[in-house]
Amino acid sequence: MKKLFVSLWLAAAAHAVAAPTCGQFVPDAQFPVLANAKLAPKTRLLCYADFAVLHSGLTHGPLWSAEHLTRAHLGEAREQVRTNKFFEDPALPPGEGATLADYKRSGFDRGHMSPAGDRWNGEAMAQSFTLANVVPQDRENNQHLWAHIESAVRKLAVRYGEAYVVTGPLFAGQTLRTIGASHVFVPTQLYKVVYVPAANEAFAIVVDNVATDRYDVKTVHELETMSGIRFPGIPETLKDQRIGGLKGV
Amino acid sequence: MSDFHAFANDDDVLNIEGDALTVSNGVACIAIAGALKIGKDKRGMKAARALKAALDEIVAALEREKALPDEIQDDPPEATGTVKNPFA
Repeated sequence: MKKLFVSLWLAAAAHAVAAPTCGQFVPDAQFPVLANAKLAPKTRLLCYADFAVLHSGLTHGPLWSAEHLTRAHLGEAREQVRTNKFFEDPALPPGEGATLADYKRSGFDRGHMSPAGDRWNGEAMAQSFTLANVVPQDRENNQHLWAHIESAVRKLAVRYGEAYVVTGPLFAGQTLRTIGASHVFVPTQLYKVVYVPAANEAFAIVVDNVATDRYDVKTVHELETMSGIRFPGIPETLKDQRIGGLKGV
Repeated sequence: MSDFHAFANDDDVLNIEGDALTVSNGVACIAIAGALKIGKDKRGMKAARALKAALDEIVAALEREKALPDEIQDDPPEATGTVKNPFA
């Protein structure tokens, strides 16, 4: 019994050391909340230089990745020229994270959630290549449609000065596909939730994880229902807005 | 690009101007994706040099190979597994 107590205490202490210090990447310092309790097991909040991830040891990837885009930082991001390296995240206990081998020959891209192109310094860009920030994404989708969506969101943030963005996978249906020996879940869809304070605007984008040019615009409330994740930092009054579409996508 | 070693691994990505253009390394195949505007300015010069260095490195790596095949076949992807959705 004593042993158990000690190990629990150690676990608590370890958690305290890794206390989240990344509230600045979400509006009003309010992180997304897992409304669907089934998402909660084996989740860990990971703080990086300019984004934050909630990682799932069940899916072996992120459930959400949050970032705060500003005009000044995006100006820096456009200047970045560097060689990066995908890596297995050392912050995760063995078995929880995906491995490089899982993705090798999987046929899927390692699709960034918070994109490399938003990172405004070398450290942050290097960190964005953690496998904790990527999901198995259809290659065509990642390189075309998704890249255009990321670019359109950047333009919104530049135009209005700032935007809060959360990106993640959706897992719909009774059966899911997996890749690799870790059984990394393949998302059925991907989402982005975007909040632009200066425009008094919030919306969500959903795309199927297949080769497609089609994206769906959702309200934040609709996305909350689909994802089982709530976004308390976004004003409730904006959550039923529906925008027409994204410019240039 | 001194730190981009063509065909050395499957995990390096050279990012030019954020992720406007990416050069993804691979043991069997290197993938270049994106769109890059090269302005007649210092920024354009920086991007052009990075791209040229990467391409020079790729060509040099290919030229070092003694017996290149005409065309290698893509390995078919491994079959995916399945799991019951624990979130449904």
